Amino acid sequence: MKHILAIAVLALPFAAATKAAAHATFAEREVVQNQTSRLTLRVPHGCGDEATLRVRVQIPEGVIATQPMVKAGWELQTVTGPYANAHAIHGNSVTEGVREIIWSGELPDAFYDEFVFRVRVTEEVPAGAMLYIPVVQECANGAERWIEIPAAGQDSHDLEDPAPGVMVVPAAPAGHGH
Amino acid sequence: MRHALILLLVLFMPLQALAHAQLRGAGPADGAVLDAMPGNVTLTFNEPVAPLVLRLFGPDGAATDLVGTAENAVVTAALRGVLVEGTYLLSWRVVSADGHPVGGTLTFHIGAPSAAPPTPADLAAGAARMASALRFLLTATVVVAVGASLFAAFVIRGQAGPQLSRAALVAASATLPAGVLVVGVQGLDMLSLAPAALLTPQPWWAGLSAPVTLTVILSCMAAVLSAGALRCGTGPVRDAFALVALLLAALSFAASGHAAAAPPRAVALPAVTLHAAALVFWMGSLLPLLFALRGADAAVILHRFAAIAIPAVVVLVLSGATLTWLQAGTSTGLMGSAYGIVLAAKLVLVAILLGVAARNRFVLTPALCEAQPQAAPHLRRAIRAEIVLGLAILALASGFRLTPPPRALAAPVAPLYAHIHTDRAMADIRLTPGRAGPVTVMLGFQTGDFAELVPRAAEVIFAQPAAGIAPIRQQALRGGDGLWHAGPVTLPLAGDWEVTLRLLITDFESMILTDTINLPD
Repeated sequence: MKHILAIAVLALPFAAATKAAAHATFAEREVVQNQTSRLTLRVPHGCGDEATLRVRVQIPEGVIATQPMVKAGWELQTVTGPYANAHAIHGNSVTEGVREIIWSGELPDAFYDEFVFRVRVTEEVPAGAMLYIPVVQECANGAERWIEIPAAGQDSHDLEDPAPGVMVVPAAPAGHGH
Repeated sequence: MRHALILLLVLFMPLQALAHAQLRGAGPADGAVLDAMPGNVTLTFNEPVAPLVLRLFGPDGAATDLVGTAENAVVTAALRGVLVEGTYLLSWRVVSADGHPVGGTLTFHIGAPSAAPPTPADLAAGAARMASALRFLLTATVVVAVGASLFAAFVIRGQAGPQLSRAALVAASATLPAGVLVVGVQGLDMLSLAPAALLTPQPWWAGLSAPVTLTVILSCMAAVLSAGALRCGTGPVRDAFALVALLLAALSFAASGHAAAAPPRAVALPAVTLHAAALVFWMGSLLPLLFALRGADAAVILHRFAAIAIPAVVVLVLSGATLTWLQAGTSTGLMGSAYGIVLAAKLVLVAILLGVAARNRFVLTPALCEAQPQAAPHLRRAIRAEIVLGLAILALASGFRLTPPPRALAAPVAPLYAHIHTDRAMADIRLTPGRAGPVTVMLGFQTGDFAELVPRAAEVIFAQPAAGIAPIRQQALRGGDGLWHAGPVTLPLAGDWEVTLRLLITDFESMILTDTINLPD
């Protein structure tokens, strides 16, 4: 009996170039290190055929200064907590901030919606790699969890419930305002 | 045909923008118990799809391919002529508008769940019989082809006659088509498809992955080598070719089948190889002997044949007895079983064959040497009888394929264990019983450094992509014993199953563990 230690190998022999439309994804393709970036989470459907009642976003380490955008018809909550490492912004040391965003409301399964927040991706997150941000959609009787992060060498299209991701790019060396 | 085209498109086109179609609901619902068979089955998806395969496994294990029609996001298939009560499995596979295939298995029950849901033994008995007949044909052609060159090299020790060369060439040429058909029909048997499916690639791919493919390759090589040997004149090269052909032919018997798989394999494999080598020589010599009796030096040839055949028969009997003992264990396992009946018939025929052979050797051969006028016709008649008996024995041996050996029936079916170990987590999997059919699943989890790991939820997924079985999903529940339990879930076929465990650790973190488990018959 051979042990295959690979993670989530669904034998789908396809090369895929774009994001899966039926998954939760970000509208943005990339974020720049050490700049405030806007991220737009796209939610295409509910859990099975149930309406989405809560959208929860977990902010990974190295992503700071998170600010969710208010949304009409939705109640907004954040969970704050300490960061693993202190970060310097404009000379100030920042040690804690938003770790989770929770929007509560109702999004019927047949409808589409977007949820917006701003983040600052620090150099703790390597440039040239994808940053995956886990998202959970909670419904009355279940949840849709976009939380799978591909292992090294793995394609996120091979995952059943991939976390939405953006490409992290380094800041331009000159012409950077503040 | 349309399905085959879609399949080809799916397999070979690089596709973009993969939106996964998701099953939203099914009628009948998964796990439903219905009073009567509904007129049709519907699968509702979140987006338009086209059906690829809808295969219904009935309570008797028979598989029927349903014709599905898609309208928008709903696939409908009529259930006609289905009357038996019990458990049904619908293995479905659809392709969404963008070409991404997804699949699953739906279980529902008519009347009440079957006591014994579909089992692999019942699957496609027709294909199994076809495979058995083709295997017999393949064996016969190899025996004739290889026997001819062996006989020319070691009994005639000279040029083979034109009749013998022609017979060997015909047999060798028939080996390849017979072998190719064996692979395809093996695939039919594995996927429980109708013979018409040989026009599609599915059974061929499945057949190629089976051990019988190695048997076919070795058989074809042996036949070609033997045909080549007969064209090499009479030197030592020819003799060497003939011996290698014999070895390849003998190994072809050991490459697949129950016999070589019996534990301990260190005994079973050589026993099968020796048994096959002896039978190829003996059976393969009968036709050349018949031809040789017409020649002038018949008496010399008969003596040389006997000098090799008598040790060969001893090997045949001893190896045959060993194999029977390995398969049957005790005689109680044999009584009344289908395997026992086939074996008994084979032994009776072997006894008659040995009697005929002994008479040839000890009565008719001396008579021929003394130039008695009636000896040659008697001997010819006796050898023809040997050929008929030999073919009947080979046919019965091919028929063993259809009957599981007593060791498989009698042995208590032990659970099947598997262990998955990654840096982050370890899982122990137990399937009870450890064979194809309904199994219960027990799971235990630990972190990578042996600490307790209690996931919030655990799902186990079984899939056998090679056999076209789409993932079967089961939610596991935590029991009072701290272990997780799922099932019973019906795994309809033996062979390699991909097992995937999806553990939810926190709201935002999951772990996925995969392994391949070989499920015995």
